[in-house]
Amino acid sequence: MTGIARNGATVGLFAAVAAVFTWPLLADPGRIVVARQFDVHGMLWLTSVAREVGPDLRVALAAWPEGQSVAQADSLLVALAAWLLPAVRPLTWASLLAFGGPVVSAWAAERFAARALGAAWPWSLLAGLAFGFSGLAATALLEGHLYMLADPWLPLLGWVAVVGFGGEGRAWHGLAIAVCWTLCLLTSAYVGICATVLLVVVAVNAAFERSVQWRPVLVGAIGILPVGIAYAYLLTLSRARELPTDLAWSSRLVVESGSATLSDLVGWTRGVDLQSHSLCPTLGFTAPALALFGLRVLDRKGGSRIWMILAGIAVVLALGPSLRLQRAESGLPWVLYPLVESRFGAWFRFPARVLPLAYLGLGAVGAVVATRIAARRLRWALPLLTFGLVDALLVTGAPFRTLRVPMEVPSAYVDLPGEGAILELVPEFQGWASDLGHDVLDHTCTYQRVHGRPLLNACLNPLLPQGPLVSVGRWLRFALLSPDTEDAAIVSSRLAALGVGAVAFHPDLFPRGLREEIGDALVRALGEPVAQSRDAGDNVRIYRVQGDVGDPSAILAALRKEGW
Amino acid sequence: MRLLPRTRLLPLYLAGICLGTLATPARVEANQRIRFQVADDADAMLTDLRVEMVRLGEVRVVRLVDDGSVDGDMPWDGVYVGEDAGDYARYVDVRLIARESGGPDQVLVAAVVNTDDENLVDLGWRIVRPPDASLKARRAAVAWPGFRMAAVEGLHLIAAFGWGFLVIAYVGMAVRARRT
Repeated sequence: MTGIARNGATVGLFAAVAAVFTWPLLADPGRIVVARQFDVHGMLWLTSVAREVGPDLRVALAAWPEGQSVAQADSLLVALAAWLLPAVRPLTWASLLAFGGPVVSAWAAERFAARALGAAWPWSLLAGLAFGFSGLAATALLEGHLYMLADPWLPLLGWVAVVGFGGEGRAWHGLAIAVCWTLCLLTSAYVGICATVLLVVVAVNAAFERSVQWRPVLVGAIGILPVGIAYAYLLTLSRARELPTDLAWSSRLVVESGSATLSDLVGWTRGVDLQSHSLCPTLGFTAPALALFGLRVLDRKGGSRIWMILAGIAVVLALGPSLRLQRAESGLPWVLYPLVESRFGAWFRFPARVLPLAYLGLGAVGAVVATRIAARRLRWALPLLTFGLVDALLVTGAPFRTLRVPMEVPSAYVDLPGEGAILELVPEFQGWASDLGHDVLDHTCTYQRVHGRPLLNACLNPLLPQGPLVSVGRWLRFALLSPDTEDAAIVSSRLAALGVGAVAFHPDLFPRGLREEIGDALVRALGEPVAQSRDAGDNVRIYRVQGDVGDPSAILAALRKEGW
Repeated sequence: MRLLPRTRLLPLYLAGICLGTLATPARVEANQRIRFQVADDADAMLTDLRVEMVRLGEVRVVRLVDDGSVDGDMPWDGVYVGEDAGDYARYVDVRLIARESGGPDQVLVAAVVNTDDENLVDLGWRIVRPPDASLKARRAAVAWPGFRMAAVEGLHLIAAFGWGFLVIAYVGMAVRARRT
C-alpha cells in the first residue's frame, strides 16, 4: 500500500470513528450541538464576535457597558481562526471542531507513533484511537470545550522534539518546536502545560544521553520565550484567574472538581453526566495494557520509556490534590495538595486536562508493542485493533452520552424593535443550581447572532458572579416587586439611562407566584410585551424600554459614579 | 478459524463496525418526550405520585405509575414511571408530589431542570426517608425501567472493569505467545 493510500485509509477510518463518536452530530450538522454542558455556548459566542474585538481585547456586545474581555477565552486559536474566517458560521465552527478535531488529532498521533517511535501500520492506528478518541476527548465533546478536540499540535511537537533534540537536530527543528508549542498554548492553556512538560522531559532525557544538539534548543527557546511572556501578560489582564471559592467550596474542592478520580480513569457512569460536568477522562485498556507489558518486550534504547515516564507524570498530575477512588470521597493528600492552598491553584484548576500527554505516550508505546507482537504472532495482534475501537467508543461511552440540542433562536428575538442593550431577566441561581443559571444565560448569548444587540450578561467564563447583569438585574427585580409605586414608576427612565433598550423576561425560570407578580409589574412599568414566543425551547416575553440610549462611555461613568 | 479478515481488509472491517453503529436511528421525533422515573427506596405506601410541571408556560400534570401501564415501565419493581410529550422545551419547572396512605400531599421536589435533548429526556429521582420521617426525593441519574437505580448507575463501571480484565489478560497472553 502506498503512503498516500495508507494515509487516505487512516483518515477515512478515523472519520468513520468520529462519525460514531459524535453521533448524532453528522445527522444534523449546523443545527444542533451534541454537548451536554453549557461551555459550548461561550465558544459559539466567541466565534460570532471575533471581528468585534477591540484593541483593548474587549467586546462591547457582552457585559454591557463594560464590555467582555476575550483575554478570558479558553482558546485564543479558535478566536483567531474565527477572526480570519468571518464567513464561517459559529455552528459550523462547532460542527467542524467536534467532527474534524478528533480526526486530525488521531491522524497526527498515528503519524507520531509511526515516524518517531517506529510503529508499523495498521498498529499505529492504536495510537490515533487512544489520543484522538480518548476519555478526555469525550469529556471535551460533552462539556462543550470543542477546541480541545482539535489538537494535532502535541503529537507534532513530540515528533519534532524527538528529532530536534536527538543527534540529527537542525536549526529548523527548533523553529518547528517553537511553532508547535505556540499552537499548543493557543489551543488551550492546559495543552500548553502538556507541551511544556513534554519539551522539558524530552530535552532532559537528550541531555542525559548526551545526544542533544544545542542549535535547535537555542532557536526553540528564542521562539518560545516571547510567546510565553506575552501569554503570561495576557493572563494578568484577565480577572478570571481566581478560584471561585465560597463557604461551600474551598479551593481544594474546586480543584478536586476538575481532577480525575481512579474510577474516572476506568469507566463512566450516568452520575458523571448529571453531577460532575461530564468529567470522566477514561484511559482505556488496550494502549495502557500494551504499554505496561511493553516494559518486557521493548529494549531500553528504543526511546519508548521516555513516553511512559511522560504518561506517568500526566496521570499523577491529573489526579489533582487528592487520591480518590470516586468523587464522593475526600481521599488521601496527593501531589497537588500544597499547590491548591497557594495562589497558584487558580492557574491549575483542571488538572485532568493534562491527560493528553498520557494518551499520546501510552498510545504510541502501545502501537510499538502491537507492532512487535504482530511481527511474530499476527493472529494474536489482529484483535487489538478491535479492542482499541471498543475503548474509543464503548469505554468512553461518547455515542451514548451525547445529546441532540437544537440551537434555534426564539422568534421573539427576530426583528426586535428599538435599540439599546438587552437585559435578560432571570433569577440568580446559586449552589448546585448555578450550572442551570450559566446554561440559561449562555444560551441567551447565542441568541445575539440574530438580534445583534449588546447584552448585560457576560458571555465568557460566567463562573464569576459579577458584571452589570448581576447588579442591574438585582435592582430591577427589587424595584418591580417593591410595594412602593414610585420604584416601579422610575423603572423605565432608569433603564433607558443605563442604555437598556429591552427587557427579556423568562417567566418559567422563576418560582410560581413570583412569575405572575413580576410579569404584571413589567406590564405596569414598561407596557405590554412587544414580542413573545414559546418556540426554540424558551418561553420568553420582551418588553421595550422607551427613551433614548446614551453614549456607552457616559453611561459607564454614570454607573461607576452611582456605585453600581 | 480466523477471528478477523486479512490485514488489507481490516480498514473495511472496522469501518463496517462504525457504519453498523451509525445505522441506529437518530431521527427527530415530532414531540419532545420527557420521561420521569422515580425509585421508591423508602418503601413508602404511596397512593399517589405525580409531577406538576410548567412546560413553556403551560401547567401539566403527569401521574407516575408502577403497574406497567406506561410504556417502558416494569410493573411492581419500585420504579414509578410517567411521560409527557410536547413542543421542545430547554427547561421545565417541576414539582414532584407524593401522597402516602391516609396522608396529605407532600412536595418532594420543586425545581427548574434542564431538558436539553430534543427527542427524549430522562429525569430521575430517588425517594428516601431521612430520620425526621418525612419523605424526600434526591435527584439521581436515570434508572432503566425494571431495576433499582443504584445498581444501574454503576453498570457501565462494572462492565468497564470486566472489559479491562479481559484486555489485560489477552495482552498478557499475546506478549507471552510472542516470546514463545
